[in-house]
Amino acid sequence: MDKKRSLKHHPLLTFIGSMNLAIVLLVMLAIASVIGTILKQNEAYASYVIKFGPFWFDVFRTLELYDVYSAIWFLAVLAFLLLSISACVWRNWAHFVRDMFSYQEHTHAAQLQKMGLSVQGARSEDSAQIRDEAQQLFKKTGFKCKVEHKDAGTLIAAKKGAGHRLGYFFTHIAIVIICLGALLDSNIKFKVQEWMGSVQAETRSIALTDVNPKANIAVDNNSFRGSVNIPEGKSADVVFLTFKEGYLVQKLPFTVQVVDFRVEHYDTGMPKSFESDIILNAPELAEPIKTTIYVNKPLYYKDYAIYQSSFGDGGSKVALRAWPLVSNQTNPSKLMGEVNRIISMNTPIGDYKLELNDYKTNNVIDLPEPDANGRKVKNLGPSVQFKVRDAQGQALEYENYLLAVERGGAWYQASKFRRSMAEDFQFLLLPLDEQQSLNRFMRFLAQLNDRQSMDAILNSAIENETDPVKREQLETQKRFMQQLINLFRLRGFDGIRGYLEQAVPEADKREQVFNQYLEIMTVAMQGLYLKTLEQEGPVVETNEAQRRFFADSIEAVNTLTAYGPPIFFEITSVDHREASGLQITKSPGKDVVYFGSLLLVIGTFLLFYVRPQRLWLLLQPQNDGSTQLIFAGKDGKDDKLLQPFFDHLTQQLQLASATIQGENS
Amino acid sequence: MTAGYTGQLTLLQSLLSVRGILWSLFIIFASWLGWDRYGELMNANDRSYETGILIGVTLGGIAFGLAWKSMQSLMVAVLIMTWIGIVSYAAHGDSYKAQETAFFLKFLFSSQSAIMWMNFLFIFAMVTYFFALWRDSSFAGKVATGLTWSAVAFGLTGMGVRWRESYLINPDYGHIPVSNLYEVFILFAIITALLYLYYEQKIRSRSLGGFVLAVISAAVSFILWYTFGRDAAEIQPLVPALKSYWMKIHVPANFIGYGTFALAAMIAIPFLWRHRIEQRGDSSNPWLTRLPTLATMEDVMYKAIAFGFAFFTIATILGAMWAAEAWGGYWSWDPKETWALIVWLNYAAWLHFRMSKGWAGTRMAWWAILGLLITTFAFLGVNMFLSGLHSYGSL
Ligand code: HEM
Repeated sequence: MDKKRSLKHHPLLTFIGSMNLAIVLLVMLAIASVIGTILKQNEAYASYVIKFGPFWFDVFRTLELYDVYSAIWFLAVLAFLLLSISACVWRNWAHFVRDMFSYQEHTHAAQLQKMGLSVQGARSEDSAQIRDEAQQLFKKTGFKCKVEHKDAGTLIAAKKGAGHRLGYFFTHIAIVIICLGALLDSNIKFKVQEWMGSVQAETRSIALTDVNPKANIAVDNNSFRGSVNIPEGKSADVVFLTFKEGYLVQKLPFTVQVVDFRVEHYDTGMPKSFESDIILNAPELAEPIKTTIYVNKPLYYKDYAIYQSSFGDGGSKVALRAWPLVSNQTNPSKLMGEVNRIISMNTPIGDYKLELNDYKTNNVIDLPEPDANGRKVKNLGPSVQFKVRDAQGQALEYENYLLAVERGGAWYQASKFRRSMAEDFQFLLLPLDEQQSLNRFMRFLAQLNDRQSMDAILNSAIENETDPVKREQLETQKRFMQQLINLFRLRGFDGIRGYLEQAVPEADKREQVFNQYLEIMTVAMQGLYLKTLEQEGPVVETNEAQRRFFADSIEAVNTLTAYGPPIFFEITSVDHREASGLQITKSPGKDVVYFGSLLLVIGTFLLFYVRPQRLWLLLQPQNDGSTQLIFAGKDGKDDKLLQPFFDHLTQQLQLASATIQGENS
Repeated sequence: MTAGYTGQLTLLQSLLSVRGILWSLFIIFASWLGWDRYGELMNANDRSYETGILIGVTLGGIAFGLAWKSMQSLMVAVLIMTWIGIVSYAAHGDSYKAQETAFFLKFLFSSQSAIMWMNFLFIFAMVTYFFALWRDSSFAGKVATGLTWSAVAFGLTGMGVRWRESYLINPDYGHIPVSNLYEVFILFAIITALLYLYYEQKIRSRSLGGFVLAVISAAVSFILWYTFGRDAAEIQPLVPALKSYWMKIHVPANFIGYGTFALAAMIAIPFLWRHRIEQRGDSSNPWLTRLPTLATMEDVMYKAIAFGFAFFTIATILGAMWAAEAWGGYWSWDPKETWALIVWLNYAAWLHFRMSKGWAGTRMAWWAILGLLITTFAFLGVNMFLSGLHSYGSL
């Protein structure tokens, strides 16, 4: 007993269990949390280097700030906090428990008189009668009483609100329980195993069979949280856990098959719900479990929970037409591809790899102005995202839309492209002909690419000229036009402007010359366009739509100069295969955390809304049969809270309320 | 400040009075009516939970009204106003566009109009409270209290009608209006005002009204900017992750916490002011008779924070339980979650200093104000500056 007592008062324990240390730790925890929210966690290291530069990147990495919540020092602060609270509870429990059960019936008359709430008086009744009366009164108001004979009289000691102390235990033990529960679910054991060298993250995206054996986690792992994408009709018996800069592969004791995956959309095109019909099969099951899961409705099986968390593409089949953009050929080649697969292409202009990355069924964009129906969003319909990589490994990123888009009455085929992640996407709009096809534009482009075709147009103007001087002039003009159109075809309007900057030194004249060039060029290209139109049938006079088509074509040719590899991929059809993104967890700590939480809530209410209060009534019988009384009260927090009630009882006990000691205004 | 001991009336005793019985029957009738009319709109898969929540709300409503009599008149007024709104829509073929033509909707009870009334009344109430304090006018004080109650009534009506409107626009869109920043700001203004009104009755002084209404008016200014600058009042469909009965309980519980923390911080201002006057020893200063005593204000601050802390604890735990169901983990260190923890730790420390170390006075008052700054960041700053799983309320 003595030993225990001395241990409890050991300076180290006193320090660890002190509120000052607890507060310091709490503040550290709060600061770490702030850092964790301000510094984006678990991004690729490369992006941190760009953000902070190599020096600070290293400093922050050493401090483990890129994954604060599983940093060693963070866990150490948490552990110390647990220790601190445990020590506090340990130090306090004995006297708190004693306090809960004690009536403090040993309080002496002199102490009662000194209390903040204390009155004295006399009554003519005998002490036994007053005792019964007072006991009844106390009990009616929720106090528990104990009667003790002392100080030449009878003491009724009463108490209420012992639950307050219980609240202290509940809240503090709850926090310890919650942290322990969370620890059960944390990945700390992998970190330990990593130190011991038995676990290593896999960083490559490779086939499951090739994964580093040290990244394979056996079925018996008792807690994890991982995710897996399963295409429709396929099944999986592993999940991937993110760990360090890579992942671990967790084996499951069952297989999950995704039979069907569905996304429903609102009329705006935003997703409304997504759900999967799944079949869970395990050796111990007589019948496989068939069910449907959706967001906010997981499947619980044994200690596992299977959540619908996202969706992606499960290898949609994409049919494409590849239009050559720099040849005089007008027939596209047909290709078949699959999302997440790569197609190699050998073309006369070089070798390319077409990487199909994703198929999106909806593209909802915000409109600057509400449309006719008052909607502020618009759905551009499905699109395919892909990259085209050249032989040097340089890639451009594209997103091509399947549906034609309308702008002011004309229809276009839309494509977005950019050269790097850092750039914004740029739009290419190719005008569509009356058949909603690219044919006319592509034929026009082929004419533009075809030197002979252009020569023919330009020569037709010269042919009839007989005057040799003029003919010579026209020849010069023709060569100039050819150069101009070539320049435009290769570099666009910017190319011509660039040329002018050298050719015309006076900056203020450039715009005028530019417009002249534009006119010359337009005349030539109009000739080509007319020829293109004539391929469709005789043209008497061009109509408004055809003229607009021409203007749009020139704009498109201009954009094409920045479009990258000279192929346009037209998506002709997509056979959609979806993949359901599942998250599968095993978290034995969850119920522990919930239990702790319940305790915490109950404890908090006990602490705040149960007030520990005590009353004492000392009855001292006098010789003449009357009784001398001392009535005292104490509130665990603040005597003022008890005072109105105390005054009320004073009246009921027929004592004149005396001046209350210790009351300060 | 020692109020006489009036005897404690238990909830059971007030339930068994004539008024208590009438009140309970009224609430049960209103709930039944709601269930009868809209029962089939409850999300079919969660229907048992939704029914459970409805029963909980009914019992909670009864208890609330019994514990705080003023609630009864408020709830009756709100239910009648909301009913007029819903019926007006029904009379116009349940067309959402009716709010542009039907008289009651256009000028009073469509969610847009009702919320505009709330905004106006709150600001008017703040001005009136300050006027009452300045002129020491008890009449103006009473008017201010009336304005605040009316603002609350209009705000709750606006929320109720908005709930209905979301179904009128498109049954697919239907949801309780606590799903985005615009809607929760309204909730914040209403809850903070109700908390204030409760303490106003408790301490029998209207002198703190202007200060508390100032933070509500700040919220109102935000609502106005958000409405006109960003068109935020438009009813949007819910993202899949929010389609859950959890939203109905997690969000309001959170805002009880936010409301009390704001209330405590605003009371800290007159507290510090009075403290300065007292320090100067200027006992003839007229403000000393108008403002409540330091002890009273301190007590309200403490009670508000304790109450809010308890609810904030519940809200955070409910949030964790919802996250476990929606995101697959009860704690993901998402910025919003993390800031909720920071707020919680802050007030846990505040309560420790007060309960165990006996800190009091100006230090605690300043800390309460600091607490509001932290809370505001958790409430608004996270949405503005940090991204994460809680991206629904982004600005
Ligand atoms: C993060 C969490 C918490 C930590 C680290 C913590 C830590 C501590 C520590 C170390 C003490 C001991 C002080 C001493 O004996 O000198 C203490 C006391 C106390 N704590 Fe906490 N606590 C936490 C949360 C809470 C909560 C949530 C409540 C209640 C709402 C609470 C209520 C109390 C009370 C009432 C005492 C004083 C007990 C007494 O002497 O009557 N604590 N706390």
